[in-house]
Amino acid sequence: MSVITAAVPPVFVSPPAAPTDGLWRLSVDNYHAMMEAGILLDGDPVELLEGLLVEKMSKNPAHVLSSGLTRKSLERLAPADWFVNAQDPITTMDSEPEPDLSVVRGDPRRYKTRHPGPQDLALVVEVSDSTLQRDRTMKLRLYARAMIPIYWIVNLVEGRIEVYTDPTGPDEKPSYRQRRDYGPADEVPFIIEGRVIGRIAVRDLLP
Amino acid sequence: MSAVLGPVLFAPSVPVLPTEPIWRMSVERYHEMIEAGILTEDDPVELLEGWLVEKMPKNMPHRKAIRRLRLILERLAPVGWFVDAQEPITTTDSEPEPDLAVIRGDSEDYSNHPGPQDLALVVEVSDSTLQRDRITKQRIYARAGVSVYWIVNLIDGQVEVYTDPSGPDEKPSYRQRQDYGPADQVPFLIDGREIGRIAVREVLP
Repeated sequence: MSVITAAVPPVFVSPPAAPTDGLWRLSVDNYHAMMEAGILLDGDPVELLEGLLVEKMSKNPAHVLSSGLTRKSLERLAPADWFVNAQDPITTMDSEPEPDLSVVRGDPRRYKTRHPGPQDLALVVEVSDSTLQRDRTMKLRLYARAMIPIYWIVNLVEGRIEVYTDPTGPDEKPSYRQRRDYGPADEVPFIIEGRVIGRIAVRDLLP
Repeated sequence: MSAVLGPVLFAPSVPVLPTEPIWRMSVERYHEMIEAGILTEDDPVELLEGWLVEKMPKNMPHRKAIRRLRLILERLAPVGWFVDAQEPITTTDSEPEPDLAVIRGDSEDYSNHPGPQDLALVVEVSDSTLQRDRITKQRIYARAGVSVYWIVNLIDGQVEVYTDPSGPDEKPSYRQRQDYGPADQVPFLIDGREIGRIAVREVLP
């Protein structure tokens, strides 16, 4: 005889959450093909991180303010053959993140047909409040894997700037070997290719 | 002065997932990806509740159970119904590829994939996929109103029969579950009518 069990227990009916295993990963080429075919549009709040389409968080006013302040400081100091991008894509092997700021080599026209890659970048910056966890784990991992030499987290939660340097590259556990934190009374060195371009007061970047 | 913290101690492991909100895709966009050749028929992937999920490779006992049950269902299925194996079915938010499905009409009639209204039964054969089949797949089939869902549970050696789907509820699920052990016979129902009985022993590998 068959065993009759009552109604299916509630363990079955949790609300949909992304599966914890076996998510399909898209290549950067797949991602570009989706945009060319109009399957993903420029306005879609999404970025490709390690093969996954990850939703971008909306930004609160403090985030926008700090991004703007940091952008101005970097632009004021950047030498002639470097420029600053804001929330524009960069392309790595497995990802196409859109960092809050990136310091890019050369003339902007150089990037008419492709986004800047790791070899074109001196610095990427994420301004973090609600995204702090993502910026310290997934983003840090993919920037380190891509060998982006310097990564700043403008940490609005704790009011400091975290500077990550010396990336491992495509290691089993990619990471930055050095982290240095700068508080509101400190000045962060702005370094391009190992040369200090200038110093920026942390106070000037925080809201 | 700044604090030197030395090596990053919280070095995250790969690939940790997914505390991040993963983008959900509509069935239409999924179809566009296939039409554009971004996903191909050979890619082991299915759309589950808007997420692209990898299909697990199937081991021999799994394949054997599918083959056995397919033959039995085909023998019993009345005229006007056919059995498909590992072909997509389309719901409002998903395009799963159940191990077996009993479908109304003739396979030639379908220019699109069958939908819930075309299905008498879907079957998943489960070993490594048991959790996914009991949670995600059950929720998808219940939400879509697929009337009967079987899990051929190779781990516990039983067939789980889920009936009375809630439909697009807040927490979709089947209201009834009945388990059949190796000594039992599972009734094969189409549109509420019993077509035959299948000995669980004949299905399990």
